[in-house]
Amino acid sequence: MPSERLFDEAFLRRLERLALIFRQSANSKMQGERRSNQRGQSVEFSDFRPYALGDDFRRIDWNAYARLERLFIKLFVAEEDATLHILIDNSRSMDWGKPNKLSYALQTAGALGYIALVGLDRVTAITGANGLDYANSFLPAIRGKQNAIKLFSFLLSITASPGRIEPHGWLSAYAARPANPGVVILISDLLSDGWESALSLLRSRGHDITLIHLLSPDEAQPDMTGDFRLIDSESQAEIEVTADFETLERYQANLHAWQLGWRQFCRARGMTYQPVQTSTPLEEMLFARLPKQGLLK
Amino acid sequence: MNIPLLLKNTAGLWLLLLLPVIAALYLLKLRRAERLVSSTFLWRKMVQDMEANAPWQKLRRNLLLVLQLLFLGFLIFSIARPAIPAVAYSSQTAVLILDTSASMAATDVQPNRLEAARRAANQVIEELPANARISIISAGEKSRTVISLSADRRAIRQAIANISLSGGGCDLGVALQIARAIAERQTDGQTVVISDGNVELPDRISIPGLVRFIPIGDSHQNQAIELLNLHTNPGNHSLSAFAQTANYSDSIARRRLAFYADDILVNVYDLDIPPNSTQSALADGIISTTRVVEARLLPDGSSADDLPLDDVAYAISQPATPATVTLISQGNLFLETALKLLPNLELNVPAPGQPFDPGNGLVIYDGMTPNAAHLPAGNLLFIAPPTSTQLFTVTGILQSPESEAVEPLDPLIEQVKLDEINILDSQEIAPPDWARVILADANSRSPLLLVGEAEGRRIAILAFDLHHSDFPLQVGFPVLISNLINWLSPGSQSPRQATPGATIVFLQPLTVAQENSPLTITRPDGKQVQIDYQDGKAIFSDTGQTGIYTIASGNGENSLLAINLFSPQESRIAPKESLPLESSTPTGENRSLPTGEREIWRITASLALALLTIEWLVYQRATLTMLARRIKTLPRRVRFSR
Repeated sequence: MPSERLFDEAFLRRLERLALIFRQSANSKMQGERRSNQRGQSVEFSDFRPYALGDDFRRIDWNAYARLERLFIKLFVAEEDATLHILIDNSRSMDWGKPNKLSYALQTAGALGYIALVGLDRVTAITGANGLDYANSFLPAIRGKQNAIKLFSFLLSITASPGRIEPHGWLSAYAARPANPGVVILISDLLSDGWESALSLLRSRGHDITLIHLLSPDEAQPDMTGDFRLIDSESQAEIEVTADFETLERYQANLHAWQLGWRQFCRARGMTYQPVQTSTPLEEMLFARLPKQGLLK
Repeated sequence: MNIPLLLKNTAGLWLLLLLPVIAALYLLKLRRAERLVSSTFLWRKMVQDMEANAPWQKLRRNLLLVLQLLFLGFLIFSIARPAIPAVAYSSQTAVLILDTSASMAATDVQPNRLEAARRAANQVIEELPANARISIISAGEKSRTVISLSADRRAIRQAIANISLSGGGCDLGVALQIARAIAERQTDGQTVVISDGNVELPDRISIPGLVRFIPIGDSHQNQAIELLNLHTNPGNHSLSAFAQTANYSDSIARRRLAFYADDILVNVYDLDIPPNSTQSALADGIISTTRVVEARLLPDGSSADDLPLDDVAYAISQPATPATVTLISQGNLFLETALKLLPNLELNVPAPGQPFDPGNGLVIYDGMTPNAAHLPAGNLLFIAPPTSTQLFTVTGILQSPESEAVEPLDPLIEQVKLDEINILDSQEIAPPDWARVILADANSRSPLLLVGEAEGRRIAILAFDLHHSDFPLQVGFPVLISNLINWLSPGSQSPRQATPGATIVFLQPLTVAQENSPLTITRPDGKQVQIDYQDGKAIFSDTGQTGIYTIASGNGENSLLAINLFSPQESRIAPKESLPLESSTPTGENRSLPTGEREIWRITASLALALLTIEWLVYQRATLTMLARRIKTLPRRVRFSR
């Protein structure tokens, strides 16, 4: 499990320089600090549009009417808050590898959540516990930098799920929750079936989804030669494999095809796909890869 | 094709039981090691892929097993000593005679016949059992046992590789006698003659055991210079060169014959030499100071010539220095006339009692004996010496001796009829131990003609006075005198032309100071040989190369010697299909080719080794590919790290 503190002070200060980018309106009821692409009420002028029946008289630009004898409505940039949903897959297969995928996922979640909190956005997190222990697997929305400690302690409490996680059930349950569409970051190794339908369902709720796909180095390049009976850490299912050169070559090709399939799946649905090996330093992912993907700036 | 295969060690096949053991071990090995992985999700997907082409996959997975089984199979097969029946010359001993005569230099077989003979010899050795003892004889002008009864294949191959052309003819008789001597000591031997068949064969020689002849060569296209002579024209002091060319092929040959005088072209003839015939050419007007005349057959168009060795000939013009002969006599007309007839002779007849200086020349004392203190330095011929000298002792007078040749074959009395000589009286001389008696009295055995070498000079003694016999009136007299003078005054008689392989004898020039400096002989290829005189002679036999040899004696005099092939037997390079070789073993079971076998375990063992290597490569291919990739990506990394 990760250490008691996810990050040190210096790293947090570096994180404060980053900000989340929301590519779509949050449609939030609450006014926040996030500049929306929707027009709204603020002090910053955005545009004019002709008056239409039912518009607020108070927003008619009378100076323009004096000049042009036509009614125009002044539009202002709306500022809104947004919600960052952090979904952490804590299935057994995630608690694997060197560096550990789950702790890498928690660190990523912590960093992104902290960035969002610093940006006065709402942050909520959920992990795939059994479903029985709902309270411990869900962090209700928090807001403000002062609540970062809540986020971190929640993340530190997450352990690998003892049972199996059905992606569809887990995500459809989450999608069914009444929540405004926001940014969803799913951190998972995707090493089970059913993720596609679950993600499609989530997408249909209007979320801006970023998929951070974690793989440990020994999954990307298995270091084994010989005849093995491989045992699944989740399901205890067995499979016999003769790991010789061709097999490993084929495994690699297969892995690339799989990742390419996910990339195409995400592009087709307007989602962001970011494959990461846990051997990648966290800094590189946060300060180089995710900004490149347009998630952070 | 059905090749019957023999196994000489069938017990080794029991080892085949190891094959199931390996297979069993393989099955045991397939009890897989268990390994916990995060998820079998990716592996499952892959295995589904793989099962689409399962049979091939299964085979490939068992590739190592197949290779290992094959390796072991070949190894066991090798242990079982497989053999195929060969046309078996599987004798335990073999004598290989390789012809190294000049005709073996013919290039009708690439690269030449000698090389082909070497290859044939190696093949014969290949067919022999591994422990067979082999002798190699190189048969040229002289035959030589290169290696004797050796089982060391490497030494044998080395010996075969070291055999070189001897340049001259080939006398197979000596070689066959050596072979017979070896074969007679062995019960199961064979003799193999590898030659083009242009050899001198003894009339009858039979060799025990199997005798084989392996013919080499397939062409008879050759033209040769058979003769090159020089004549000094008496009148204008110029030289004429006479060359005779021969064509040994079946078609007319058009060749260009060029004469060179000391490397300057002086004359060229275009010759059409009829098949199996000769054509002559004469080059006149060569200036008399020329030392070497070279005749060369140049290629002209289509005429094929497979033996270049006989296309060049050399002749040497060496103005003879006249021999000095001093005759001390009371007057002897017979002798003076006979001496004056001899060419290249400078005759001094000092008046009796006058002082004379013979130098190193021959001094003839006719009916006189010198004072012991005044014995001249050169060779001496005494005729009827009246008194003894330090060299011999006169004991008396022999009345009417009957001459009889003691050594009738001596070259000194060649062509001399001696039985009709009537002699009145003769000095009786006790034969000294340095002398050979050529003629003696038939009754008293008292010598009439003595020759020998003493105190470093040649001495001849004719015991009877010429005036007291009818010998000077006979035909044999001038011949004997000529022979004697030639023997006693050899200075101008050193040979100028010889055939390859000939043994050349150089006589030590007589000098007052008898210094013993060696001869330095430079061969045509530039190699120098030093030869010391022994007993007044220097013997040189390393004459295998054709061309000009330069002989430098200690006193700075240079003379030349030309070695030319001039051998129709060698120039007639058409190979013979068979040689009349006889085996003394009676015809019958031994004459029919004995059946034997040729072991091939080396081949199968090599195959096993190759399989082992392949197996290792297959086993290590992941590592190897990784290494290859690392090496490929290495430069890029270096570039990035900068």
